[in-house]
Amino acid sequence: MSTVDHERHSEGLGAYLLGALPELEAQMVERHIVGCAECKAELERLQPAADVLPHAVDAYEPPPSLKRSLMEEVERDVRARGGTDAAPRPWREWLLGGALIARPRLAAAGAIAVLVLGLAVGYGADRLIRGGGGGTRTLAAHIDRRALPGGSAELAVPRHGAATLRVRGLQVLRGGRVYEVWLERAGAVSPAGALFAVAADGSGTAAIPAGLHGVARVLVTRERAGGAPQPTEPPIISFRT
Amino acid sequence: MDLVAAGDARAFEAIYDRHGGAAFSLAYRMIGNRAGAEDITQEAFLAIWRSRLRYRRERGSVRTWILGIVHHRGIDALRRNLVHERRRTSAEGIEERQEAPERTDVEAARREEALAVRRALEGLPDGQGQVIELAYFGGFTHTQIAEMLGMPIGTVKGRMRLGLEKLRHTLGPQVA
Repeated sequence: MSTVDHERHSEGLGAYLLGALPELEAQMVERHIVGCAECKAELERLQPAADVLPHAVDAYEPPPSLKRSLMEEVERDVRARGGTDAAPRPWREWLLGGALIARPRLAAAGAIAVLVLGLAVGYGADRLIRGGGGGTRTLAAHIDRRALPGGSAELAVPRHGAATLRVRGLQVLRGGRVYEVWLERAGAVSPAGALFAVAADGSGTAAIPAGLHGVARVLVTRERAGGAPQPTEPPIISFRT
Repeated sequence: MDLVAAGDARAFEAIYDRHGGAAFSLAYRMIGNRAGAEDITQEAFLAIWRSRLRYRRERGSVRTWILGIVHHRGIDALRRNLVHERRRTSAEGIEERQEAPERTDVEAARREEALAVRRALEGLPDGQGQVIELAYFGGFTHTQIAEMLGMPIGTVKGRMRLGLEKLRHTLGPQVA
C-alpha cells in the first residue's frame, strides 16, 4: 500500500460513511481498510457520527396500509414455505417443478424453459475469468440469449467484502418489477439480498452483501417489486464461482 | 432478530412495529414524498425478511442496522433517478405531512434526540452541515456536490470528514 493510496482513501472516509462515494470508489476504500489498521480505526471512530444522522429527521407515521401490505407478503412467504420453516427449498426441486406445482399456469412455460436451460439452446457461455487488481476476480456470465439478446454482465469478487454485479444492455422492467440476485449453495438457492433496476441505457450495478463463501453459482432472475422468496423463473444470468 | 432469521413472521412484525416508523421517516426525508418512502421502507423490510440479512450485534443496535439498510435503498433509488423528479414536483411533500403523534416517553425522547442532532448539524461550521445533508439525505456523490457548490472535491471530502468529527464531539455520549 502506497502512501498516496493511503492519503487518498483516508481523505474519503467521511464521504464513504455518508454514502457519497460512487460504487467503485467505495469498493476501493473497503479494500484499503482491510489492510490499513489506521483507516479501519478512524472509520470505526467516525461511524457512530454517521449512524446518528437518521435520528435528525422529523418522525412521520407510516400509513397502516404499508404494514398490511408488508405482512401480506410475509404471510404469503410463510404459507409458501409450509409454516415458519425458513429453510430455502432446494434449487433442484424448483427446477423439477416444485415451484411450478404451486403455479400450474406456469408449468408448461417453465418446463420449456428448463429444457432450454438443459440443452443450452441460445445460451451464451462466455466463461471468462480474469484477475483484477487488489485480489479481485472478475467473472463473466452465462447469459440466456433468448431473454437477453444484447445483455452482458460481470461479477467483481474481491478477496474481502461485497461482490459487485455489473450489467449492461438489460431491459428496463416495467410494472415495478426488479432484477433479483440469488446464491446457490449445495443445490439450494436463497436470496442474496440484492434487488436492482437498470437505468434507461440498460446498465446497472448491485452489491452482494452476504459474501460468496460456499456459493457455487450466482443467479439473476426477474421478480416482482420487493423480491421473491424463491426464483419464479430460470436464471437469465448466472455465474459459476 | 434470531427469530426473524428463523422465519418467524410474528417476530418480524414486532421488529416492524418497533422500527418501521423510523425507517419510514428516514425514507421520507430522503425521497420527499409518501409513495416513494413507502416503496423504500417496504423494500428494505422485505429484504430483511426474505434474505435474512445478517444482523451483527457488534455493528450496533438493530435500529441502526435497519436504518442503514433503508439509507442504502434510498441512495440507490436517488441514484437511479427514480425519485428526483417526483421530489421536485411534490413541493418537498409538505402537503403530505402527517407527523407521528407523540404517544410515549420513548417517542418524546426520540424527538429530543432528533432536535439535538439537528442542532448539532446546523451548528457545524464552514458549510460542513450542508455537504453532510446533501450527501446523506440527498444521495449526491462528492463529485456532484463539488459541482453544485463550485468547490474542489478535496474540499468537499474534507468538510464531510471534519463535519462528522465535529458531530461526534458535539453529541458526545449520543454517538458513543
